[in-house]
Amino acid sequence: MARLKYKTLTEQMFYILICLKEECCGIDIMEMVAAMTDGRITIGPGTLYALLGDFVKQGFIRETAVEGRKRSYILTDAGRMVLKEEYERLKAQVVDYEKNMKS
Amino acid sequence: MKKDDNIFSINRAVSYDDLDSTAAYLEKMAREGWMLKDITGTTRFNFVKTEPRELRYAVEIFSEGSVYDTYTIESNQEYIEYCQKAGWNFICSSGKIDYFYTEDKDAPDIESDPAMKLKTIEKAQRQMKIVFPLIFIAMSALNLLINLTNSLNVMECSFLHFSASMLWIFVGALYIMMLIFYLAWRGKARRAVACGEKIPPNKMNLSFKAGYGLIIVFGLVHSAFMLLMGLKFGEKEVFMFPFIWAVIILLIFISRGVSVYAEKKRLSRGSYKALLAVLTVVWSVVLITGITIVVVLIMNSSSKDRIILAEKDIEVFGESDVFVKRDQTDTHWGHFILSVDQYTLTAYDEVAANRHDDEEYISDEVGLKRSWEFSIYKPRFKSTYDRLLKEAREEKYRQLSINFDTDIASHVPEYESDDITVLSIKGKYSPIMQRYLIFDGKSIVYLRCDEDLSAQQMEVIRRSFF
Repeated sequence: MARLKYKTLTEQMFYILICLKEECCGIDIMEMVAAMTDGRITIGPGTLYALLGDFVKQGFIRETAVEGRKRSYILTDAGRMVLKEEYERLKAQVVDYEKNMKS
Repeated sequence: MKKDDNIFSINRAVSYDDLDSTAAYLEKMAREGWMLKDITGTTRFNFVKTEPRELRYAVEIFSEGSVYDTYTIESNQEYIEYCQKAGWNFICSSGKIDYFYTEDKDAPDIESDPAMKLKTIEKAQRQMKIVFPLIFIAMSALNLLINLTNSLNVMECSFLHFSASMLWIFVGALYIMMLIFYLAWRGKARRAVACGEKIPPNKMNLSFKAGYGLIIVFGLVHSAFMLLMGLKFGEKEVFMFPFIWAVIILLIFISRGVSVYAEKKRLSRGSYKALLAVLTVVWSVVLITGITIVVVLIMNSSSKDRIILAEKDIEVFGESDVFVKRDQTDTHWGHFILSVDQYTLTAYDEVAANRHDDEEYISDEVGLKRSWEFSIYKPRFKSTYDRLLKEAREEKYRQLSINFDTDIASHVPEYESDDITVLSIKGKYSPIMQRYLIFDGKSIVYLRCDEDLSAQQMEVIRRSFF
């Protein structure tokens, strides 16, 4: 597995990785994330482009197909693990909140 | 700047750490009815006339791009498609920078993560704002170090050398300032991003006009000052400075022309770089040839000057006597001329070499290689005079310093007077070489010859140099 560059994922990274659980075209991720979060999260096209390149380098996702200039990607096992770790971290945060704030 | 009915062109410097000001400028132009069409070279913005429009512009760094890109490269096309999908219309790319506009007020920002955007900016800035300043600061420091250790005497006596050193110090200071301003901005930007704020613009960038204007004005002022000082101190070497500045300023325009040419021919990154390398080599040759020509011209003219200055000059004759030749018609004795105007001047073996008009002497004297060697030090400052003598005592090596160990020298009382001191070393450095150091608190004459001075010879020297 490639060197882990990110200790924690930003929201934008988190949603991009979620979108790639199934193979999809990189360019469609902007709309998918907007739809998934009801517009709460928008990803700028420049940021998306840079992150996809980064994720491929890190081995979180891999390229599956190129159609003209449209590249499709899918999550790798390493990417799944990173996403899972982030999920556990968020869950721990929620548990801590509930334990301390809702008592 | 060209303004006709439908086209308007202007040169504009675009800095990676203040792209938003360019975007704001383009928005202002759109409101006034001028729409960005394209950019020629790297600096010339071309606008076409339209209806006044309320537009949003985005000026973004494409980090895989290069300043040597003369057209929109393939990977940039993919990036552009992402931006188009988000509602941004592509206008043009210039080097690493892409230009977009949109009428959609709700289109997402192209860079939605300030931390990543800052990283991209820092990467794009590294060469210009960190590496170059460090190289120039190091070169400036090295120059200063050499001047302080080895060439201090040269710097004090040669205006050319002095002002070249000053120029280096100026360049060093300028780059230190640039580096400090950039690092200050970077620190501020990093703190802002850590707090989730927008990246603050770096306001310490010069506009196109200010940047090039500064170079041209500084070049003109410096050249004029140099010419003035050169005339005052009689150092014609400084006349090369106007030439050097002209070459530098011309290079600015030529490199812009080359960037336009490269764009027209759609050169690849490699060919464009190669073209710039060739230009650099050609320009260096022009610069070096030019300097050489200027130096040769100056040397020729100054050797003519020496003859014109005959009244001030001293002519010294070989054999066992040294005397001033008053009668110019007497050519029996060859001669060499020392200009006392010169701060320092050394003449080797010229007594023998110039005696070609007398065959008897050539056969006789050239073979003997009788040599006289003078160094005349007339420092402008008392401190330099004191240092020269101190260094002579310590036998410290520097350019234009005196290699004379005063500790082992003895006084020659019969040559001395109230204000003139004469020290002599015989046989210390070579068995027959005699060395004299004669000084009076203002000038120093260092004389090496292969025989003792007679009282008459010493009198000539005293009359001539003190």
